[in-house]
Amino acid sequence: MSKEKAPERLIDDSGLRIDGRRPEDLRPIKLEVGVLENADGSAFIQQGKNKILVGVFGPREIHPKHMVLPDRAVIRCRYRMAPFSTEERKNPAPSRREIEISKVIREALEPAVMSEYYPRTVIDIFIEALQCDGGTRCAGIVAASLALADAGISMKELVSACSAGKVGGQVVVDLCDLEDKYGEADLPVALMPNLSAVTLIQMDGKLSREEFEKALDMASEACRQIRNFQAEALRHKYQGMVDTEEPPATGEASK
Amino acid sequence: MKTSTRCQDRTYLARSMAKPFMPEKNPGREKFVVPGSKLGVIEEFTAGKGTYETDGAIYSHHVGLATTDTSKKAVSVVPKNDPILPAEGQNIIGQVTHAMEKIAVIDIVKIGNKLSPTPFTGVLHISASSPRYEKSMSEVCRTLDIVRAKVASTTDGIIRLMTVGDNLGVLKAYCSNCGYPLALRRRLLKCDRCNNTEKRKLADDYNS
Repeated sequence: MSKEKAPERLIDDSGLRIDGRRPEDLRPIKLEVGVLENADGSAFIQQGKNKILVGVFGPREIHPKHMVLPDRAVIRCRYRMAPFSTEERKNPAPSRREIEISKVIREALEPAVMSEYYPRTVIDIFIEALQCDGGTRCAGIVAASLALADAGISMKELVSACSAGKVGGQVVVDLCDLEDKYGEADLPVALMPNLSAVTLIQMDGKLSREEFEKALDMASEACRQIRNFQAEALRHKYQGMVDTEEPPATGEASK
Repeated sequence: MKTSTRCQDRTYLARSMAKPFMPEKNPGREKFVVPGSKLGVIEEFTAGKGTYETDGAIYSHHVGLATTDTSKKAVSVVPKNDPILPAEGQNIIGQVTHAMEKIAVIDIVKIGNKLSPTPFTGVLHISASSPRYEKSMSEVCRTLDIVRAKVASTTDGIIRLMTVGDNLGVLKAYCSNCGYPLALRRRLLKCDRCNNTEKRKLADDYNS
């Protein structure tokens, strides 16, 4: 059925990965904010071959009413892969994996959103993966965080996310689909870089304690880089309204 | 030398008494910030609007412009994109969806000058509906009426409305018999189709 073949080697003799990156290199990232007219906030991320669109609605009145929380907003998240997003057609019905990823993304974003400012309301996040190439949950978190900021929702910090893992015996960052499938381990991490707070950490596979610590460090560093791209994307959207630069607060505060 | 120093001191004293030191806002210190941008520490500033403080540091919680007020030693963020939410003191326009004996439920469709993308539900109690005593809500507003009201409070997320005020009240009313729009004849509302007369708490620009 599948045309895909397992690669013979994921890291070559010169230490380069299957797509020519070094272990600490991220895939090229393109971020855009405010791409949808009808959503309150929206963002688009292209990370390598990943293409993900996020729309945020709210804070708005919650339906059904029995879900209301009297002291804060309810955050609902739906992650969905388009039928044409993978090599083989994906069944459009919500799968177990999509439901689980929706839940972990929501839980990764919840600590950042100041939901107590919007009691009795709901914030809906719709994440549509249009093209998938590994690491879509992390890319989804990055775009969802931008879309929330674009909707004007109060947040403690932008949430940035990146995966690290072990491929061909080496710890690498930002795994692509082949590395994810045929590598030894995968460690997606979501971080609020300025607050040094981890909001998501999962692990698939086996890592030694040293490898885990190295992978976590590499993923955290990648998150900090992505956080700068996020700030840049927001500035780009609002550049017509502002003239001044953002203070370089990210590096110092995160240490 | 001594005289000279005293003289200089006096001049300084006179100058400082004439014009007390009042540092102005420095608009040049506006900075573009995103959620989580560090704005300073609590020893420098107090955390103003659009900011929060944690572990002795002040951060922005909006996308916007951070301004520092040196006279008040405060830093605040003016958001670039505030969500449209009913806030205390704002005027709203909505439609009555349920009118009971003492309470009316109103679907808020316009908040200030902005249309709300999805309606919010507000509650109007009879005690906040009119400066006079009203016996029943049917004398204030009825189902399907369009009303202008003020947000009295949003405590616990419940939007409580009031229509006490000349510009507040029903903007357009419909006949409870036949649904035809009611026209204002002297101080009563009259249906031109079925000759029914009704009473409402009207805004001064009713049907205009």
